[in-house]
Amino acid sequence: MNIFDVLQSVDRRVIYVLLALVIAIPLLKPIPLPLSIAPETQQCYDFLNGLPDGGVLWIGGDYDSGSATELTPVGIAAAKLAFKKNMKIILYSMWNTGATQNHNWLKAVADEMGKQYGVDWVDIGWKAQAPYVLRGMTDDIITAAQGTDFEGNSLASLPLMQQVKKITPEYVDGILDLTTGSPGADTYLQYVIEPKGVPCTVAVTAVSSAQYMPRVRAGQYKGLTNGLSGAAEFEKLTGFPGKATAGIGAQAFSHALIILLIILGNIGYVVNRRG
Amino acid sequence: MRKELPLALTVLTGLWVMACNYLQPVAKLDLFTKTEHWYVISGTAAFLIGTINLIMVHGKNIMRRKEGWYNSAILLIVLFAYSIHGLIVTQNDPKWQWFWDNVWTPVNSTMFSLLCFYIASAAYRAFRVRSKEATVLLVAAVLVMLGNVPLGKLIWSQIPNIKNWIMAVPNSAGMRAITLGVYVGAFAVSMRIMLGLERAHLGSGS
Repeated sequence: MNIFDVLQSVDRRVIYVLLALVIAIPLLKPIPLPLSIAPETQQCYDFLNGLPDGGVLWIGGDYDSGSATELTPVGIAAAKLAFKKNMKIILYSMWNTGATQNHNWLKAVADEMGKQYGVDWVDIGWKAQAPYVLRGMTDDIITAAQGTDFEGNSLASLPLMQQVKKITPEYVDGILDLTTGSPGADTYLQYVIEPKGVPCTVAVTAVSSAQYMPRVRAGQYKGLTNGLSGAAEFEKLTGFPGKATAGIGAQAFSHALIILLIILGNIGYVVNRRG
Repeated sequence: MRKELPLALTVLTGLWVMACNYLQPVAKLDLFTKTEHWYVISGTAAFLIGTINLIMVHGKNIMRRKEGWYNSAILLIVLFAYSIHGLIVTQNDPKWQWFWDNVWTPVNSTMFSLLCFYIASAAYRAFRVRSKEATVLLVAAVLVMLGNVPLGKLIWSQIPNIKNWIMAVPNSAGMRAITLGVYVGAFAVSMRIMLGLERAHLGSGS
């Protein structure tokens, strides 16, 4: 077995160990790296920053803990930006497996910024058959959401929900959807964005950004953050660095390792094929 | 009537939904909002059917002592215990939440984290320059991967711009074509179901 045979048949356990090291070391010892801002991320930030002060931001938390690393930092930075602009936030989760985690991070941000539940923010939580509830909320939020919020409190008793009756441009100034699949951004597109005209921007996982890019190009979504790198770019734009900025180094070096392994494997493959 | 009744229900429901959305006089009556309540109820009923099926499949594994039957036993024990506990105390109970936040959530995150290792190993073995198309795929993938992280800009300042172009132009064109095909196919299947030409959903022997 010559060196070129070895290059194209590296034991997968070696790959796993190397990958674990290049991910763990930058997480333990962060290495600052320059970030270039993608046009879609800039568009997303410009959209959210351009929403009126004191307006209403609707956040769709349509993901679970598997995608939290890429999406929660965007939600946190966007919530901080919105609260800084004295906006009100309404959170609705179409994934029952992510409703609790979404409530927890928004509550932490609200507590940090001195915002009051029911007045400055409300979490509607998850409802059964969530996409159809979303459609119903374009007519009447309280009725469609069965009258209760995430913790079972009466929505009608909350001051914010007495002002925001439905998901229309009259009551909601913009939507940020943190999405990793279905139901998610496409559900908002089908039931809210196109029929009702409420503008929306999205934060997606890197693996699904290819799917949503055409809709950004068509103007259906006002910008997009692409995975962990998009989240880090968004944190940089908002001025609220967080876990995405801390984790981008790990992602950078893991990508570099994978590319290096692919190149080495192909060198071995090409030389052996010619030989 | 075993086949005819479900077929008739399918056709009538499909026509009803189409009328509510596309026929102006019917749409004005806003009857679709009331129909949506049926979705919620029938969709929730589907959860029950799915749970019954799960119990049947894993129950058979346990009774027949198939390989890994103890995994099925653990699944059913957790399913019943957590469901019954949740029904008694409701989802706002701290103990019920504790299990969700401290067991399920980390396990789910860990499972997705493992994908990183599998993808790295699979990419190393799969990305070979076996043909021109494979080479184009490899080069595009490398450029997008580098463009997604700060290292790309460090190597060459134009890599992020190249990645943005790949995502915005060829990728968007391809995805639009795929999406059109998917929805044309979905429309065709929906029409076949409504016309009774597709009967797989009625069970075996249809």
